[in-house]
Amino acid sequence: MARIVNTAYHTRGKLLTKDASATINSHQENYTDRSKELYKQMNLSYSKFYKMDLLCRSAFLCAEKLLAEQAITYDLNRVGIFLANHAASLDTDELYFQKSIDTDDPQKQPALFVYTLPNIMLGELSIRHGFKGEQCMWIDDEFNQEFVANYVNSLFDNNKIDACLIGWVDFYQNKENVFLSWVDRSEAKTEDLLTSENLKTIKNYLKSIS
Amino acid sequence: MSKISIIADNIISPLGWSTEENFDQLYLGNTGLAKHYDEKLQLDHVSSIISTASIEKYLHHAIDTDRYTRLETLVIHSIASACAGNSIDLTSPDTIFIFTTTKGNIRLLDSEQDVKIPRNRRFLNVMAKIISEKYDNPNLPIIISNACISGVLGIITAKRLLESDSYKNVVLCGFDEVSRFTLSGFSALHALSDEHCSPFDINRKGINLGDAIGTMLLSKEKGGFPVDLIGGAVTNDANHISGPSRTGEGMYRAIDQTLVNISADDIEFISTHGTATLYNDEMESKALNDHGFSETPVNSMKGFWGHTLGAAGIIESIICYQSILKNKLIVSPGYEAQGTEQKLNILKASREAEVNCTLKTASGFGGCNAALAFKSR
Repeated sequence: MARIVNTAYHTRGKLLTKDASATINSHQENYTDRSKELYKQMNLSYSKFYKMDLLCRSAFLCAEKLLAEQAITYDLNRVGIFLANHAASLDTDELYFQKSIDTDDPQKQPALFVYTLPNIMLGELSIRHGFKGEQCMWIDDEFNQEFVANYVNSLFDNNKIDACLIGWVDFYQNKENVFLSWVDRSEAKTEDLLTSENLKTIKNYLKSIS
Repeated sequence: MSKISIIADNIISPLGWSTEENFDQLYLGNTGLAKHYDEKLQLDHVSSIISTASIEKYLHHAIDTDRYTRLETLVIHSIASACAGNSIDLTSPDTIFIFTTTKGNIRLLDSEQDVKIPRNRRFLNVMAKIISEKYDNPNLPIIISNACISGVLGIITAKRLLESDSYKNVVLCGFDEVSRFTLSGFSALHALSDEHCSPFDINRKGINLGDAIGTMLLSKEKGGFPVDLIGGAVTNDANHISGPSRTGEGMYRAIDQTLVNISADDIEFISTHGTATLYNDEMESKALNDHGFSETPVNSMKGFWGHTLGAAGIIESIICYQSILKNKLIVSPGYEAQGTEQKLNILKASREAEVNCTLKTASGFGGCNAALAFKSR
């Protein structure tokens, strides 16, 4: 069974890993500003960040927090990304619709349109971290820990991947609700195994701080 | 391990209400593409749109706009058609619904559309539950929204869930419809052709969009078509969020991983993604040539149905294995002269041919690629 190596959370302007020791925080009202403040606090230098929509920014920041201290020694062709959320890309869809269609002064917004697919954030994370393996974007009411644990473990069992990012990355109406876990097949204690129960603990922790 | 069978399928498009009708129209080279005009966008476009008259004729009544959107209505009927005449128990916990779509009920953003439908049906999971509950299925449906590889990814997911004994039956349905939203966006990207699209052709100008719903029933319990899904793989380019890779390396790897149980020489036909954008077709021709497929018969079905986004991987895969069952290869509409740096054997006419093994490819925004292979039993 695969192992959950580490988990990072991002909600209500907070960005933390599971031991919560190095939490960073922004109290800015809008996520546009909140995400920028967090980006600056993390001393990041990645100009693509400013082009991203807010869903991608929330995924990006959480992945930076998670992977900052993670030495990745795997063949990147065998590193996957499996994410789920509730709102898909609707936050950006609605913005696009307002600016380009539902207005007396429609503006062409090709750069924004590209972000009207939820899997674009998988693309952004792939570019940033070089992950070229299998991926999937699921839409759900809430994180479906039984399904994800079964599906991802079977990919490890069938030798399709050596490591992956999994998580819940939801952004809608100024609310970021994100966790990302780094998963590989190294030896693990029971509490770190990729099980439905352990994922439920992660999901509940995110709920408790959001 | 018992075999996984595809036991039934259905395609709804302007070309027909069943797989048979669609296959026959494709074989004849007929297209669902026609000229349309969007007043609000002031946009002339060529798209493959299912007419209201056709829907009412097929349903024998108007769409029940109090209860379902146009797209939901078509999805419900595609699933009903695929399920008719076989004994899959849709109400069983052993049966799971998988939906693949990019934009679902995106038309609901427009306050003038489907005025009686609750606006929360713009959320894909809410829409999906409306469908699975219509069939009294007790499981939460799985929804895959992974751009233009969604359908192919859905087939791979279905296979895996059956192989791992998670479920005994899968109802897999891919759907998307032409909307002002997607027309506006692809037009802004200068990716929309104002003529019939011409995949791989020297004069190709971009995509057309299309309405389609495709359903496949897969089972571990029941026998089905004498064809097996023998491989499938998904990769990412990690290169660009909206442009295909210049090298085709990600697509090459997806095909490579798909061909683990079979030799590239065995592939007798390839249904490409073939969107008719400059870059997609160039990338695909490179990846296919790197696998030595320069002489293998190839088509793109985008000239029949347009790009049907979340449905494309399902309906094009259906035709891909139906080509094996019927021993017929389908023409690639819109192709006249080589338009990619590397040569491909694009089908200029439909023809009968013994076909045992076929490959389906797909790629999409976000840098994703996927491939599938089918083989006769």
